Amino acid sequence: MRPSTGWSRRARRNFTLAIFLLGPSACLIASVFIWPLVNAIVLSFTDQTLLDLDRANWVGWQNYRRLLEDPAFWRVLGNTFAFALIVAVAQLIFGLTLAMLLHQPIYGKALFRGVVLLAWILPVVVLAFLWEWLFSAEFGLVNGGLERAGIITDYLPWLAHPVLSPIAVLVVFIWRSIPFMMVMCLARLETIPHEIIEAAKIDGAGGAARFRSIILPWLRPVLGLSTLVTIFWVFENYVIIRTMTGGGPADRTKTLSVLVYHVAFETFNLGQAAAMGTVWFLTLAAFAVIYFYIVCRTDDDAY
Amino acid sequence: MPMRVISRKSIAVYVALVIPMLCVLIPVYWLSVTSVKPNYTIMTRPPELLPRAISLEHYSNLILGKDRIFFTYFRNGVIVSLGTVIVNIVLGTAAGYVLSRFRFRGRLPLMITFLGFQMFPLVLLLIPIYISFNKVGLLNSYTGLIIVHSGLALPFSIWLLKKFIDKIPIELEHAGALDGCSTFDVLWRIVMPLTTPGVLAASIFAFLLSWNEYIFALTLTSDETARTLSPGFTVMYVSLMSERFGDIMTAGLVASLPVLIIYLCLQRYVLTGLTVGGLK
Repeated sequence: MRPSTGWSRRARRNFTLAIFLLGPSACLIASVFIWPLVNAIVLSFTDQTLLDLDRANWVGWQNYRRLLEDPAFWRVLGNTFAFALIVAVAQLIFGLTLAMLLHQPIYGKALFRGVVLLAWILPVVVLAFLWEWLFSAEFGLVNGGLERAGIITDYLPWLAHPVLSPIAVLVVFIWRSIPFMMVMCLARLETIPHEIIEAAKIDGAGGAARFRSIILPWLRPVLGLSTLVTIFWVFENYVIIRTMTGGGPADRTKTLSVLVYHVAFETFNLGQAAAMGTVWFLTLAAFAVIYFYIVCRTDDDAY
Repeated sequence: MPMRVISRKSIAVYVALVIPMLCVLIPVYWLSVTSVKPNYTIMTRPPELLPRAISLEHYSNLILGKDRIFFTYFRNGVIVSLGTVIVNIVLGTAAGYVLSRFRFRGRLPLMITFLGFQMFPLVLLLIPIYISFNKVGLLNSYTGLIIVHSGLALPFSIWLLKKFIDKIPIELEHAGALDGCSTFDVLWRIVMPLTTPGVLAASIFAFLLSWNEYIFALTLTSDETARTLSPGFTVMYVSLMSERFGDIMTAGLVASLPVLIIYLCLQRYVLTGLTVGGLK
């Protein structure tokens, strides 16, 4: 074929097709993610309120300065981070343990997995109300069970207590995220070629050594990704906290999403909320970069 | 797969596995059993594990009584979720095909993009979307919610479908082209039928995302025209927590039904979606 100076007809046709196929998705994603993000960042420099949507004045860094002077915001940010890390660690330990347990030659794997995954499938709204009911101070099953087991002598006000309410909320988060981690780990474990394990056994490697040198590195991509996704989810989730504690006694259980929503749609201060949201985004972005740097140091070829 | 054994070690494993199973089953059991207990047996101390009386009063409240608006929300939820699924399948397969077949430099940029979108605070995105929907009149509409939910689900759908399409050997498409198929034919007659498991998995996830989605559905609707079940549930019951647990648990159970049915029938695809979408 004679080389042409421009694109061949086939390449041009393919390019048109690519645009045609990719275009709508790109537009939709841009309109739901990119344009609102840019718009929100711009909003954070205004004093836009919900009460008068047409009037918005440029106020520069005022919203951000207010944030810096507001200890409540930073407390909530730190609180959310703490929650996220606790959930991530618990999810990692329990999820991985369960996956390792399930990876044995036993019966009933599918049944077990099917039952446990229910915690991940049920709608979050339903979970929020269910666990609020379970932790009820007067008639809740948690109190009933603990009293029956002799662990407590009187019913505890789980959702109103400054120490117990974070625990209650964390229980719900952890309960929901362990099955997710378990399924991911199990799927990844099942891709380990038997020969590697057999070879290690022949070489005399014990269970712990095999775990450290073969299984853990093999699992690293899945562990890293699932943990990060869960951390984002804890920041994001609104229903559970809002329904169970509304932010908790003295903001003890308030997460960032509850705070930002409150500022935006209950105090109507959209500009300020946008500033908070932008700081939230930048914090997570910085965290993700550091996270990737630590977790994916040598694993480029794993991807 | 080594032969399954029942040994001392595996008995310990079975026992250990019972605990997580109970941790999940007990709350689910509590949800179900509360829905059939009459009110006077719900507010007891200590709580009754085995009901001494069964009553369908909560169900009749839901279906015939004051909570009937529940089914309006249910219907809205079904419409919005199905709309989201359709949009996701059509757009997602197309985009997944392009990303799969047209060579891109490395997977890492793609993964970072996908993860990047997960990072965007939804509340932050909500603010401008609310303002602009208000201006163009998309509040309280199915269209508005479908647009938003589809957009939210699309990154994962594209990611998932791309992975499934990756698995289809490109030789099949070449064979089709040789036999005279246009590129559209190739997509429609060869690729799509083979990606059915991927399409099913992506549909399930899109449906789940839309059914569960709370914060946009709550804010972008102010009445029952288009409000879906997640926010509707809260609107109905948030101030009544101390009196109507039976009704709330019943509503919760019914609200979970579509999701549970999908899960029971299509569990395989749920797992496929999680594992293919989550691994490399």
